[in-house]
Amino acid sequence: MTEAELIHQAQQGVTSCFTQLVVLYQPKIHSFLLARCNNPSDADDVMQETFINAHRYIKSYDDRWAFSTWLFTIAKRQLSRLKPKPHISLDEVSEPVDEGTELSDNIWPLVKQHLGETSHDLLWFFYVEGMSIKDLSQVMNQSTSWVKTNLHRSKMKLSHVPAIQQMMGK
Amino acid sequence: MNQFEEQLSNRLKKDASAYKEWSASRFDTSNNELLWNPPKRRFWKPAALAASVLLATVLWLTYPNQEPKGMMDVSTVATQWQQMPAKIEQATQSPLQQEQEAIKADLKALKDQLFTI
Repeated sequence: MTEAELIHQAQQGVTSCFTQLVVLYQPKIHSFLLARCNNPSDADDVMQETFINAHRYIKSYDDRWAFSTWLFTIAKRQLSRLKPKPHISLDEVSEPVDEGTELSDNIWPLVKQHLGETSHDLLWFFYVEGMSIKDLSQVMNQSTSWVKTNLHRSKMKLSHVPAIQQMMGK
Repeated sequence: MNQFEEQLSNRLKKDASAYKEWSASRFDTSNNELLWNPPKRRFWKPAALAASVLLATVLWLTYPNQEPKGMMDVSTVATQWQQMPAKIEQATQSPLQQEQEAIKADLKALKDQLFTI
């Protein structure tokens, strides 16, 4: 079954089709939320809320937008409702991670620290998710010119952060 | 800037994969039920609401049309309010005045009787 068919079936109330959509999009949403939240349990909570809301409002999904764009829009909205919990960095995670996964020396915490959450999200959606400017404007709830300007500014700012410069020089 | 942007793009993508691996190690993807089914705590709000409605209904059925103590209906209050000027006047009159008023009333009554006859 194609993604469009899965969405259509899910809109008709077929739970198994929605579950397949969850399986399909969970890694994307969860990895973004892990990078974005200060605490992994926050990421779990926001993801759960995202899919609960997606399930609740799937009939209102407009197929002019990519399904991932719609999900990220919900996730962003849920993030804004999140009450902050104590920060847990990637290095302090007690859970085992796969061998060979380089978790220290990661650029994303630096991006969030120096540029803020908005630029972090913008860069994540643009570079990691490969979203178009139009999709970015939908997720960020801003105009396309705002998206273009802020993307450029974010890149410029990053190029002036010494820690990033050092990291890129390696 | 172009070279930096290319390097940055590669680095951002590469480092994002660390989060994907972390996510994969953190979640058992076969357990989809956990991810989007409403968590238990979400049932508390509707349950509390239903319990409140039930309690209110039971109380209403047990004590129908019973007003709390000290409460009066609007018409009683209105009547009492209208009587207030007369009561105030009566309260402010001296005992002598009251006696005079009573005698005047008696005389008037007698006069009326005389003329009627």
